[in-house]
Amino acid sequence: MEENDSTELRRVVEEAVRAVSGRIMVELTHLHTGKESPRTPESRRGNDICKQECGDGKERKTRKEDEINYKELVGEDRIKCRVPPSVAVLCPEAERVVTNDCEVEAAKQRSVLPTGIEEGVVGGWVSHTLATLLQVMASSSTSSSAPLSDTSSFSDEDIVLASALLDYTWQKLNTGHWRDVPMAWRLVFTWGSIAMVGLLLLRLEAALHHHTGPPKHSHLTVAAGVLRACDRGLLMGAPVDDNPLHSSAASLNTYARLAAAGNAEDENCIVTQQDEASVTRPLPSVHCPPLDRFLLHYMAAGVPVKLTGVVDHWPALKLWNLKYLRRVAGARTVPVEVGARYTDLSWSQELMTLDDYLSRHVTSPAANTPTGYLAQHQLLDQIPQLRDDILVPDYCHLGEESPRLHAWLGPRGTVSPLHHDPDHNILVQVVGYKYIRLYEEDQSDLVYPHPDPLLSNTSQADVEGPVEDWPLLQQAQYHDLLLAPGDALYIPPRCWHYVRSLSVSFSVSFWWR
Amino acid sequence: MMSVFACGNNTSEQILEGYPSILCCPSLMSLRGITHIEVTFSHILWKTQSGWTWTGYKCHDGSNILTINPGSKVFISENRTAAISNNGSAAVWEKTGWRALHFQKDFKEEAGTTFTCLPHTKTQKYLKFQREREARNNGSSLDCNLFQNEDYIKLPRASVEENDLQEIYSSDSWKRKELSDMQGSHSEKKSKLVDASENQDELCDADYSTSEPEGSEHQVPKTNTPQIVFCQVAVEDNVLLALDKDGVVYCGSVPITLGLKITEVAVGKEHCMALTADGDILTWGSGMRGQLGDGELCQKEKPLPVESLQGIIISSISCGGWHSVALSDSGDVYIWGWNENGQLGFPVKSNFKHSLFESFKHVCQCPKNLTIRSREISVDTKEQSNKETKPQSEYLSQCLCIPTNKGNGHDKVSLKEEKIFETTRKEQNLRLLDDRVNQDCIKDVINVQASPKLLDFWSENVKIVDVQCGDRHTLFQLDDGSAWSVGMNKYGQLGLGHTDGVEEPTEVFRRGVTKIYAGGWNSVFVTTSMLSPSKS
Repeated sequence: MEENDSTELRRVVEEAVRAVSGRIMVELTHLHTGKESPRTPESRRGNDICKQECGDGKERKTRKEDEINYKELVGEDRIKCRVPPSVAVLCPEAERVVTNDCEVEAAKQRSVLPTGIEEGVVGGWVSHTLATLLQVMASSSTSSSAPLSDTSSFSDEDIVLASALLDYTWQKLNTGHWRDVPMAWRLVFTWGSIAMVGLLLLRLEAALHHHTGPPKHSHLTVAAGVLRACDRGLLMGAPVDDNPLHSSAASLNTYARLAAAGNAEDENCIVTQQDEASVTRPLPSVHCPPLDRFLLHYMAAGVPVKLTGVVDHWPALKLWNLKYLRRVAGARTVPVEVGARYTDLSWSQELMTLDDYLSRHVTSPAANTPTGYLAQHQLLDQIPQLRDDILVPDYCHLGEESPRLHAWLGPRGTVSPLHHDPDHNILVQVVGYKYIRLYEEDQSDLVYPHPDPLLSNTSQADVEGPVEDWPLLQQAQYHDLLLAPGDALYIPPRCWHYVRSLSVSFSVSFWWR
Repeated sequence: MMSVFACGNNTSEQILEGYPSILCCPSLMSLRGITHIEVTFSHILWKTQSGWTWTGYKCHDGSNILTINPGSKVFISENRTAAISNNGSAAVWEKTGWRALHFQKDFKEEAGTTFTCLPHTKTQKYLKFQREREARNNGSSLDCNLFQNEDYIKLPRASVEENDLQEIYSSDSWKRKELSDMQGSHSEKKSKLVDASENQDELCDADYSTSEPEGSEHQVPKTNTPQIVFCQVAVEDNVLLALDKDGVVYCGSVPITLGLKITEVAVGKEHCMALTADGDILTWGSGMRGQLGDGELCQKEKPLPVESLQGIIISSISCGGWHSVALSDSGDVYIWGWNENGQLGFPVKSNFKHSLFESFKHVCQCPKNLTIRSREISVDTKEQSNKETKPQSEYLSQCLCIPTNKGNGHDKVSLKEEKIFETTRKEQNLRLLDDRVNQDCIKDVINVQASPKLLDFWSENVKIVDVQCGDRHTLFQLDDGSAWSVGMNKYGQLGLGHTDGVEEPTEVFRRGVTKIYAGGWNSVFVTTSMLSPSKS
């Protein structure tokens, strides 16, 4: 891990650049030929195309063909006329003359935008800018034989342009309610992030080009920055097939972690139950019910039940611990809810790296640190390596839509106040222990629903609080239970539930309708 | 002699062609004789004696700007251009063509309706579209006054119609098909239209619900609606407000029946604001970031007065993307909305600084010969505060573009040096020696300000004469001719010679500023004297 490091990092960066430009090329090429986006991995995976280049001659041909298609698409001249940005910076005049031609060319190519993004929706400047940036990245792969100049000013103007595109799109994402924002804007954010990541990688590649010996701290800091850009695209953008942001982020995680000094690695991997909870009216449990029985007796009937033995085969049960999470995803940006309960006034959401979250809020929180809970986050969509460690229980496919996966990772003592959700839910406990109390829908009158319409699915009552504060609640019927690693719980729609973690805890929930 | 300086986002070369994407120093525009400026994200419109022109993104409608009559008023957003002719008729350019603005002047509001587009107003719009097209068929233009020539009439008619139809029937594609089937005959069209209209009683133009013989095509249709004389349009890509000379505001397709005379309108990304002749403010739209100033974070469908400002006479208003500003006739500024980048002039909650968005390190590369250069930071501060400086120092130096002795120097400031200067800047604390600044001003950390807050940054003897908002920054013009800026500075829009965030309004020009404009991530300053680019 000494001398080789720089070579290894360079290799990782080069591969990531190829993955990004390859994926962009595939997107633009398939648009051009008007083909329906093929789902076959061979032709679709930008990743694979890049791997093919390193493979044998036959595979190389596949890539060559794509390249040719691409040249037809943007025109050979378009690729050539691009003045290397290093020249452009030194000699603005050259840039002027050439970009005029390029602009004409680009105007003709205005339709070259990824699927789902239309100029009519996003406007001229965004279309033009996104197309330009994607073409810069796509053409960078065709000229990869000519190593990039090692000046630090390389493509800085393009990076500013990509940054402007993302900041502008961020404004659009903040206009109107999140769910009303046209999908095109989220796609622009994703593709803008892909272009930005590509440009940042090119810059890092150039910086590493003549560098020997172990990577400098500045290289690692840049790698961490690229990783943040990946996560920003994944968190705020729209899902895209074979998103190269996934592979780039996965390969940069190790280096980005090195940039942040003092990441604790020495946690005890064995989690034991730390807090007590007395189960007074235990919820019935059932071992691996057949699908039809589950559908009939529980899902259709709206009856909650504890499920045992349904996730025994999950690799996650053996793999997942804090050390593993840090290794796989320590430098990844995650949203964290800070504040004891989401109903508190001081409650807020913050973005931080998983390493920072685990150190500050989970393993060794300082005395006055507020509770931090990585709650209801689509972590497994953001980090597919973790998704590979689990299997969706068959029960979750009994609805009309495919289930949505959320991760719940937190220290001991996190509390989700009594509330209900509109969908079917199976909560699987992977690490640690949780105490859960359930009030069925017909008890709603006794649980003090919040008067504010926005919070009407949430109770004002502190379930484990003083009895005399919530007299009605004491009359309500309920069930309770402890969830241990490997246990699962089915919660029907609109069934009230209260959750408190009794140790460090990592659960996965599956929502379906 | 008047000079115009612009700064900020230059990614579309809207300020200077062939120069870096960020111009953090106010740069001298070469255009001469500018009388009015409209700024939006990717381009800037300039009005000169010879007509309208633009710099920046060569947008599809760019060429159309040149055809606008020099006498017309123009209002722009990123993707829309609105124009008002000398005689008060208005049109808006969207995507492919000019569309005349039509509103129902004597529209009676029904119980329970709002002024957003109603189903039956679609029918009314369709009638107007019919009338419009007939007028076009007759060769009589909507209003030629707006344009220098009649180019817009030569637009392929089909495309204009398609555009209008889409607008009218975007949600009911079946109706559109029916309409396109009807393209053949006018009379057939009209009789079908009568069938299609569900609210015949409410249709105002009875003329159009009766079928006309083919021969009458050449008659200019009679209309019951008197012509509306517009005087201002406030436009965003998703909302358009029009104001007529009687003080009526139109939105969607109908007037907003307020019973109040409005003198100015403004729009943000999600909210609207209107100023009444009595100096009161009305707001409506989304208030999720405090934009409405009503103390709440919610949506308001109808214009309602900002109660906490009642009794204070407001003389002008401005909307940023998610913030609002009101200037009182006594020269005080009230400000509210979202402070994510400090655009309200108050400190920002630190964890709202979007570190996630950092991707480049800016080093000033503004052209030395075209920008107002700062002098060295070691300028005697007392001298500055006593206003006894040499002509060049009319521009207050708080800038990091330090001319050094190595070559053209300023672009080679190392990271370390930059830090030192930053610290120096803070330590110097020029503000403490500036008697225009209120030393006891409130320093509340603000994220969202849901009710108007008096910006007490300046001393009481200082009058603010104008305030303008960009998407996420704010400019102030003071009665001593100085200009100040605060808010987002990532693209150099504050004109301070760097792209660092600032915690409080910061002086850009010491004196000589006669007009300020802001939009998108750009600022424009008009100054009286020729503040010559520094030769020292």
